Amino acid sequence: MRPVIIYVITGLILNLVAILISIYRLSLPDFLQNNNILYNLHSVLRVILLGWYINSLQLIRLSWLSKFILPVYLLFVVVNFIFWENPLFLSTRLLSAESIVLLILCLFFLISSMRDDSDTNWLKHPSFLICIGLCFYEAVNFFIFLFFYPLLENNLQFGMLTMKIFSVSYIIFCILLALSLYRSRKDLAAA
Amino acid sequence: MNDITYLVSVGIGVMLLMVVSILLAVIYNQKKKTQHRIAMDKLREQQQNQLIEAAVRSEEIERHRIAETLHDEVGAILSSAKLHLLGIKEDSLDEKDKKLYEKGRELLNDVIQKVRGISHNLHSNILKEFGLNEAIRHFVRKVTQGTIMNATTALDDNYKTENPDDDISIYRMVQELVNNILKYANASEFMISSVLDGKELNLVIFHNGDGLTQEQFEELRYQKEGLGLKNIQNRVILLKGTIHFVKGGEGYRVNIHVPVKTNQPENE
Repeated sequence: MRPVIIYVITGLILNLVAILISIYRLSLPDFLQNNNILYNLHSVLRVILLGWYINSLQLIRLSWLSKFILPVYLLFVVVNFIFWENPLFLSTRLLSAESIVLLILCLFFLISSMRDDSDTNWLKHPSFLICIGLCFYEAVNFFIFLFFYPLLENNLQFGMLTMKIFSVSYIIFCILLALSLYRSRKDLAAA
Repeated sequence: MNDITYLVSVGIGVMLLMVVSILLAVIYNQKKKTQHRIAMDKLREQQQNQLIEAAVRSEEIERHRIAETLHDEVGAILSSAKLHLLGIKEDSLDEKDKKLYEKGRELLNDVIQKVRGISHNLHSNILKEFGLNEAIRHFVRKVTQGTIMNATTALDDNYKTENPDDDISIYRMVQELVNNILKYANASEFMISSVLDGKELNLVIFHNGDGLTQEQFEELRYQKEGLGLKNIQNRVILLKGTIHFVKGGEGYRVNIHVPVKTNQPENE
């Protein structure tokens, strides 16, 4: 659970700093007024840490997919920010890539759990809650991330609604994350 | 609604549908696997019980066969030998031969008694004819005869079983436990009591010596020298009962709970 705990802590810090910047934007120096880089960083950390966690599960440790998907994603991040996008702007391409990578990993985990012959009851495993939460969050937000700017330009009202959908899905993901940490701690105490 | 709004709405809907479908498939699959696992565990337990039952039954058959051989063949030969020995006229013997004759007769009587004892121990006719309580009382009297051990029994006479095989198993457990007390506990007194509680027979063996706790029993029954304890555990499994070793203030207690079929009305 270490990657999940690191993600929760770093995610909380990044979100708090981003919110504080948006509140006190005017009283901050110019170079500190942009919080988009924090959202981009949060997205990259989410993929790396939660991808690391899913890969570390016994279920898909040896799979070919887990070996190359994260390096390919990191390569994409580097190429994207060097050649195509500025990290100071919210990168919808990056968020969409995040959705694809994490969705593939989560779906791969869920399908592997169905094929698993061991005695593990994956429904009661903390990873199940994390993957379901992540799957739900990424599935809901993939199209929102993909068409974020065109949506705001064409239909502002719907664009604002999608932001509410994004927030609700993130809250659900966080609740499931908290439940999985609680379950993991309970399992550890029982052992 | 313009194209992008439509595309995003449909996209979110499709993705959600996909996630929900996979989630339901995982839950269904896991439930099916759990059911299969439970069924397999049950089957494994059933097979294990059948093996234990076969082992216990074959042990009983073998005991019966040995008891019969000892009683009918060895016992008969010894009795015949005694008759032949008694046929010797003592008057015709000198002092030295008389002493040898007396010693031989004494030893022969001892052997006959011992063979009879072993035979009865291996296969108790009392158990068959008078039931579990009488067999336990007789066994306790026999093992404590000529010792300073103070043994008491307080057995519930309402107990009457319909399955004699269960009685044999309960009797064997009591035999093994009492023998262990006599061998290892250094006790000066022990008590065997039973209470018939509805469809359950609660048997308690108490002694004031050095006994076993539940942890020690769990540990010892897997050891080679703990064969008696393993047999006790096998019989408990066979009877679908439970056994608990408890250390009390004044001694040690073995509580055995066995579900039984009785003719006793339940409201009594």
